[in-house]
Amino acid sequence: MAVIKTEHLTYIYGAGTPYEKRALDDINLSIEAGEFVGVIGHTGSGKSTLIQHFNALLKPTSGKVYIDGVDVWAAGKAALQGFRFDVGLVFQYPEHQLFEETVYKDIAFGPRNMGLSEREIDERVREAAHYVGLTEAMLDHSPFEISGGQKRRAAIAGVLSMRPKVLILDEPTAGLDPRGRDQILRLIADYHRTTGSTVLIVSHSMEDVARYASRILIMNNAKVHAYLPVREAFSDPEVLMNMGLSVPPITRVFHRLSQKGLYSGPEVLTLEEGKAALKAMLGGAKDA
Amino acid sequence: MLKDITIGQYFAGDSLIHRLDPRIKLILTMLYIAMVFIPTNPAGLIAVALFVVACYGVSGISLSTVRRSLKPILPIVVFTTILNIFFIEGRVLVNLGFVQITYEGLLVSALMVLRIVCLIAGTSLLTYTTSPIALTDAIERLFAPMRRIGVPVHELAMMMTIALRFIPTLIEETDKIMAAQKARGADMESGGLVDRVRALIPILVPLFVSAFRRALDLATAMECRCYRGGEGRTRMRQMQLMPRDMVALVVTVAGLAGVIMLNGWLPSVYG
Ligand SMILES: Nc1ncnc2c1ncn2[C@@H]1O[C@H](COP(=O)(O)OP(=O)(O)OP(=O)(O)O)[C@@H](O)[C@H]1O
Ligand SMILES: [Mg+2]
Repeated sequence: MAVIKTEHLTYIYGAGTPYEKRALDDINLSIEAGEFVGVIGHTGSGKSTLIQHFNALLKPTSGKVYIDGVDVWAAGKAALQGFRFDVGLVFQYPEHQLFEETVYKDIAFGPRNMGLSEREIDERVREAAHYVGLTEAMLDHSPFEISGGQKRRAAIAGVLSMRPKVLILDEPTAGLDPRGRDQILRLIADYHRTTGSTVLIVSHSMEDVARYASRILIMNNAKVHAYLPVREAFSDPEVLMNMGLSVPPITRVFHRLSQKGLYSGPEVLTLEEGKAALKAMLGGAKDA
Repeated sequence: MLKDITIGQYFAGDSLIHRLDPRIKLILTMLYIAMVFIPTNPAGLIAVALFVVACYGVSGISLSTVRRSLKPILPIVVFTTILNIFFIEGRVLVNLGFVQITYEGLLVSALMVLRIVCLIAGTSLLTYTTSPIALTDAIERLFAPMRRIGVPVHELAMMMTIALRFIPTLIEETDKIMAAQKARGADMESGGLVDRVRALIPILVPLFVSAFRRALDLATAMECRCYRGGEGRTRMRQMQLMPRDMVALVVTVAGLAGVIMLNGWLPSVYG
């Protein structure tokens, strides 16, 4: 069953003012449980606005949002909090929301709001800290005196500790160095694999999306351009280029090769795949 | 959300009033405030009201925008009106036994309400038609002579400019932080007073942290561009008085004189 579904979802910022802006226009989507979705789209295409509808932070101007088949805005105000625990949303630069005296307390903020027992909270905090690779010793530090990358991980742990069924991250690697970026992406992939939860990740890096996602959601000018398996998404670089997007460099290389008739095979998305394909081509050439 | 709050909102435009020199507009507003407080008779105040309506006509700003500025002070207006109606002595119109409504009471109340509306409408026109930056610039120029008695005019104006510049940024930041904490189940809408105050901590701490970060960044950026206070600083945009500024000044001064004369001629309602 679809874990997140939208019907004719439309959202307008500042409706009725001179600054009216249609950020989402008639979105019809259905995301199955267990997917790893990469959300891409040019800047201002409505990605952040869309994901804030998935955990009931924004109320649609018109249209409906269903979480696990339940109409979010028909259930009454008291139910909203529950949806936010089910669908964990990590905002862009989440480290800017840290506020507690210690990292431990900050990670515990979500579970505490869920009204869990101290024992359960403790268990979840340690589990989340473990997922993101924060050591026991670091839990007692102030969140304001650890490094930038550690802050980012602490903030992500603050959402993981709610054990959301759906985890959504808005550009989780923005402003990190390549090593930090890889670490964050890997821990998200691990979380996806071990818990079997649904993950949505907004990213401007086509390589990251190609490497980790199983499906791609392409946003363009407040509309969903396409929602399809990752390999199909990168099969036509022209279309993506016209929307101000691109395909991973390695995919482009193999596109050129196949245009010249040197390669025929499935879409190549990662360096590893490229290496394997090249080896096969060269090996094949030798045999001939 | 928070974005809907408008504090002294500026409506960009190209009317005669928009184009007036901000210094002149500031002086005109002070003259206008005098004009609002002089009349002691409804007729005089109605003349002032017509004057401000005419100004709105010239500025191209709808009078209905004033209604929004009036809303916050409405309770005070209602309260004082009621006090005035019941506690001013004179010719009794309605006798309720323990209190009575008098003709004079009604007149004084009406006058007061009209005065407040005129005051808000006129002073709002200044902020509606002048960008905050132009306004602080004008304040700096007008008060420049006070530097001689040790008032740090430039620094105060710069502080005002920066504060104004950061209001929208901080509102946006607050919106973001609130959304992020709500995503972790923060509840800001229910509970008693203590709960609600406590619920502000997760918002205020990150907000202060980010405000300090921005302040430091701004200070660095200003130093990188060699800012070192107002001493010997020249300006990109020079203010120059135009014929239209003189005309506006003459019209307003004439209006003020007219109101004063009219007031001397009409009977006062304050007895
Ligand atoms: N709080 C807001 N008020 C008014 N307009 C907004 C607000 N937030 C976003 N918008 C507008 O809505 C549109 C969609 O914004 P959104 O933030 O969803 O884009 P995005 O795809 O996340 O972009 P980016 O890649 O830059 O993060 C943009 O045109 C933006 O200007
Ligand atoms: Mg965004």
